[in-house]
Amino acid sequence: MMVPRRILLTAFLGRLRRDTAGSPAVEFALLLPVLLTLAFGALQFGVALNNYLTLTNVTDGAARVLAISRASTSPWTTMKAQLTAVSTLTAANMTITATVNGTACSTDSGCQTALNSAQGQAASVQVSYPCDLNVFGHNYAPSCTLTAKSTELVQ
Amino acid sequence: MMTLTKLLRRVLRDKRGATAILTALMVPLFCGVGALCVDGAHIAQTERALQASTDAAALAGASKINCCAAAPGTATTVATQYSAGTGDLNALSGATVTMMSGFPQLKCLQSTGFTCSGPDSANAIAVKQQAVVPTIFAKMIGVESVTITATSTAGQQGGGNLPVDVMFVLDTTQSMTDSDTNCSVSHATRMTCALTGIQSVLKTLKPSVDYAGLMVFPGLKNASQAQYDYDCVSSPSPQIVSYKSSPVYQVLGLVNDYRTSDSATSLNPSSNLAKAAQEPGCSVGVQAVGGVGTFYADAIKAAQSALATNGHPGTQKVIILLGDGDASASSSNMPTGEATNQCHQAITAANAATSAGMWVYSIAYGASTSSTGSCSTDSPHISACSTLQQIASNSTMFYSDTEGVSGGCASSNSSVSELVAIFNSIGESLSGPRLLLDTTS
Repeated sequence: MMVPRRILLTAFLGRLRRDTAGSPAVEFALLLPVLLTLAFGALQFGVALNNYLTLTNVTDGAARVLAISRASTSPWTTMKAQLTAVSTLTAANMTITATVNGTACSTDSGCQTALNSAQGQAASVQVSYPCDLNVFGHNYAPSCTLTAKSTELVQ
Repeated sequence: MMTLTKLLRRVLRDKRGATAILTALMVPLFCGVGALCVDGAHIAQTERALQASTDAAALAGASKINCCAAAPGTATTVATQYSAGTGDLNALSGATVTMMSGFPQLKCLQSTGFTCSGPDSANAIAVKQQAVVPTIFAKMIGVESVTITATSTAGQQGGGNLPVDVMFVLDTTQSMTDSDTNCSVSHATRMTCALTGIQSVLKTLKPSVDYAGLMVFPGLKNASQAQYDYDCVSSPSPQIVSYKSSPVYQVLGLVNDYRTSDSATSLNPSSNLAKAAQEPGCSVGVQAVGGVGTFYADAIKAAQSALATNGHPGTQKVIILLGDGDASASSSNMPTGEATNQCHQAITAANAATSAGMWVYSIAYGASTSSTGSCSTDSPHISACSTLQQIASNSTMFYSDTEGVSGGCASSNSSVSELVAIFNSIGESLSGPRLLLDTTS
């Protein structure tokens, strides 16, 4: 005997509504984006903080190099070489500000001149580096910049 | 009662919302991982920045140990300036930094080979800072902040050894044969006193890394005359020529044979430089011939050129000028265009060397303080004393053997009253401050 089509569908929907098999999979699928965002967010944050740590480290070294470069004819180049020696940071993305006794310098001759008369004064190096907190196309901190600064007494 | 048991059974069997519950249970775990990842990295970063500032503070302080008789303790003040506290030069954001009680601490270390004499009675400085870093994620598991400390110790200059290339530029005009009553060597001429001083420097330097050379003015007729300045006999004397005849200023280029090893306490008797400095086995050192007046701007230029050309990489280049400073050679002896402003020419030449990163020390022997009675070719007037003061790279690099004599040429190095001590103190100031192991005793 023919069962009307409408009754068949209703019965199917009713069975589907009562059926709990596979419901954890559905719930997991709904939660997956949240979990992935958390996981990759933590990953990106970790990378950024690792960059920050590296940046702090090389900036300290660069300030030390600058502070002991009073006899050098190439203090800027030597200091920059110290900054770019690490492969995990992209040298081109660094914004470097060197200051000797209150005067900014950005060339070998400029830093040399400034250092010559700065024995016992402060020399500092500040480096800014962009941080990437982009997770699945959404940037959670668009204006984020890592900045490290170290000041040493010119020897 | 029956209803409650049934309800519990149903809840136990019901699988709906299982993942949500699971997720809710996992949130603390995620927070824990976050705490490890983010807070751990943040603390590591702060620790590195704190150590950087602590090192900077110790080094800055070390360079000021025993610097200032008038203000003992300057070293600790400067160390604090370079530390990470609020308002200090290396101030840290995102953490509360304090200097530990009792620090910066001046220390007297026995193993660095340097005495603790001086206004601070110390030869090293230790800095210890503490930072309280507030946490972000770890707050959720009850950790509000983490406290970290950093320690650094630095030895003052003299504790380490910065290699140097030293060029002595020695006045050998006849005035150097005058007796020098301020010298620690009794009945000495200025020349003997100067040579004794050079010996002292040679005994302070380390032949393994430090090189020294000697130039004289007036200059020699040619390079082959130099041998008569270190042959230990008074005759023949080296032949000199006037300043216009392209004299050879260099007696000896940079050498390191002046002692046989770093640990040797006496000069090497077979070293020409030691012989020129009249080492004990040699009765006659550099001879003061004279006769063409005093002019030394060209000698300073020659010294700078020799250091730039023949100096060793990674060393501090040093020129030490010894003389009375009264440049006033007769115009008949002078090259074209250099007859006037002879003292100002010397200052210009020395300042050029300083600008090239060299250290220029000057030591005045009875330099006149009269601006009309010395440097007679200069306009405006300048005294021989202030010429030598301005030749020095900075005021701490100028010394005078008449300091303390009424009307004498005044030097800021007032505690150094006689020349051997002057040279000892130069030898010590030629090396820079350095970081040490915190366990150094």
